[in-house]
Amino acid sequence: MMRLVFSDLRDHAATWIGALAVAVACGYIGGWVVSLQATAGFSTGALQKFLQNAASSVLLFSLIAAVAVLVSAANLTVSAQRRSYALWQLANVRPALVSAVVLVQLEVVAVLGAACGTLLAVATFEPLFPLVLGSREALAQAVPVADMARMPAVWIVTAAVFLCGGLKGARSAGRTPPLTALREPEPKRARVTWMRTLLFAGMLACTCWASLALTESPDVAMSWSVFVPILMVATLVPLAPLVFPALLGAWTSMVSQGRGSAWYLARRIARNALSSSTSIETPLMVGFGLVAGLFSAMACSVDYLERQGVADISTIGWAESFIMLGGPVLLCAVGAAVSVVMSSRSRTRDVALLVAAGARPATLMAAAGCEALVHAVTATLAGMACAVASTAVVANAFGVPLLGNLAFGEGLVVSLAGFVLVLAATLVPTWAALNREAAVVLSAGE
Amino acid sequence: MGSTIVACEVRKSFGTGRGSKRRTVDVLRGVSLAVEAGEMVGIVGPSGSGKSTLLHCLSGLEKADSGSIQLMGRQLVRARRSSLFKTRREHVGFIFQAYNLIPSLSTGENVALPARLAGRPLTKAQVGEALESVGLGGREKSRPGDMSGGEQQRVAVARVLASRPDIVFADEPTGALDSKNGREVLGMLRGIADGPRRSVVMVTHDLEAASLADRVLVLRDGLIARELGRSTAAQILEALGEAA
Repeated sequence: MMRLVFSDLRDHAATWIGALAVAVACGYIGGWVVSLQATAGFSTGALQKFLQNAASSVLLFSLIAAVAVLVSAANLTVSAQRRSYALWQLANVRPALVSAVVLVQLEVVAVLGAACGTLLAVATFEPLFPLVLGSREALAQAVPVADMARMPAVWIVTAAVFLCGGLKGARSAGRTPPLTALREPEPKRARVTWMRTLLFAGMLACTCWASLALTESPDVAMSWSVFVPILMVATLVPLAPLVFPALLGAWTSMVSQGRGSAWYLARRIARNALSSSTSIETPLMVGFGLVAGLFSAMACSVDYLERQGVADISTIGWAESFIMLGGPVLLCAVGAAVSVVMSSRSRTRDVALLVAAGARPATLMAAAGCEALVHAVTATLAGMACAVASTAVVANAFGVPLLGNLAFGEGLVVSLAGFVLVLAATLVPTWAALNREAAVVLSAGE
Repeated sequence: MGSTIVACEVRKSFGTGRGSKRRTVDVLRGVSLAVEAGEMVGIVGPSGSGKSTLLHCLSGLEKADSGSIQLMGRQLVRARRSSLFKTRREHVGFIFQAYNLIPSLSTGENVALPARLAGRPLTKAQVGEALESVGLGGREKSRPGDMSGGEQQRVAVARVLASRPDIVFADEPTGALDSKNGREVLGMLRGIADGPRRSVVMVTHDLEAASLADRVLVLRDGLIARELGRSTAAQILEALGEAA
């Protein structure tokens, strides 16, 4: 069994690299959490408290993005390997063993990636600590400590999330009849399942409860308003298969369809990608919704305090921004890019088909660029809707206006970072595909 | 009638294996042929004889290593990639064994795509007409994944009909179809060749399909071993045996 695990990982390294990248990102962020806690252990008083809160904040704000991205990466990886698993079954590997091998592979990649990420965190924590957090005077006295001994906890958590995220796919890999998997190489389309419906209902109930609780008093609003954007984003995520295609269709239809073949192809390819998976848009939407929602909620609280005549209000500095948002931004951008890269196998074939149909290389590269733009804008629009909804709740609780407190600028940093990574993830495979002979690619597919 | 394709001493090799085990396989070893306008040519031969490679080289989808290939008066062997793209876009249509429809596009969009890429977008009526001619009227919004193999191949034929190329290359067009659908598709290909001055070059294992061609070329070990005129399946089989 172990030979099968590692030989398949080696032979399909290109497929597993995306999951590995996500695990590395999670390991890196987890490494910072552990290091902040270790640094707190060597501090005292207010400094210790701040560092402990910082560690908790990084963990909390990164957790939802981490779960969304890890689950997507695990599922996509298993889906991409369907054909291999089908061939194993045809070679008389028992279905239960197939599932077990898939789970072990996920765990190996999770632990390896998390280990690499934590090593990177250990290497960069001490040099980066004064740069990132040094803007706060109180932190100038802190001695950054990166505690390698505590990093296995990060590996275990990453492995656990990968296990949960990939469990369904691993069971499916073993249960799907091999001929079915070989005949239908594309997995089923993304849809709102009963599980997603339950999740949506649960999150909606939590969000409504939190929204009502905020109106009890401004003090309650002050303490709990930062959680509203998290709840709002978590409410929308289960509905992604419904929301994203509708949003994409709506805004792209407003762009003139005579805008050339590149836009024509990009719109359709992006729409088709959404029909099978929302794993490109979801991380970007989560990132924008969290960042813009959190900054907007804080703007509402500052606005309220100013209206109450409170002087000397401390606002969020660079250090606090990094602590809260660095993790989600990194995870979302990496998650979106990895999702695009995972689709590169079908992209190679699609490029060959388009070349055979007469498309110019410049048209296909432009289409890849437009496709990245479509994904980024669609996700940003969904994130904006989340941010507006969460800010409306918070603004209502504080009794301040909505419009003046919307902080989309900070959210657009996430969108831009995500767009750049997704752009690279679409352009590079397209360029690579254009350098392969279309005839060879199409013949191999036959 | 002018020649649509003139090929002279076309050679193509592929490298296989890695490092010290790398070796070169000569797939085409000097093929010469001509295809006239309005002609249907069938290419038959055993597996590994170079049929598909010859088709890909004649269409400009793959570059030959040496020799000369003129398609509609344009030289392909030493042409730049941009020139090959242009030639294919303006003059060539493809039908593959695996249909090779683009999954992100609907049926109507697949039919309209080559013409759109050539800068000659089709109207909805023209797309509808092309689908109607292959018995798929009203299916413009269907997705390739929701259609049977026979229907997908008919969409591929409709795509060729709509873009009106000067020459159609068909690589095992009935290879993945049942006999009924196969006969229908072959009838459509024959109709293309019988129509206004368009040529069809078809690679096939199916001798009944090859018997519909005006000429049949028997390929063996990268060379044309026999050339037949309009022949029955039995005559083609005999020629294959003689060429062995």
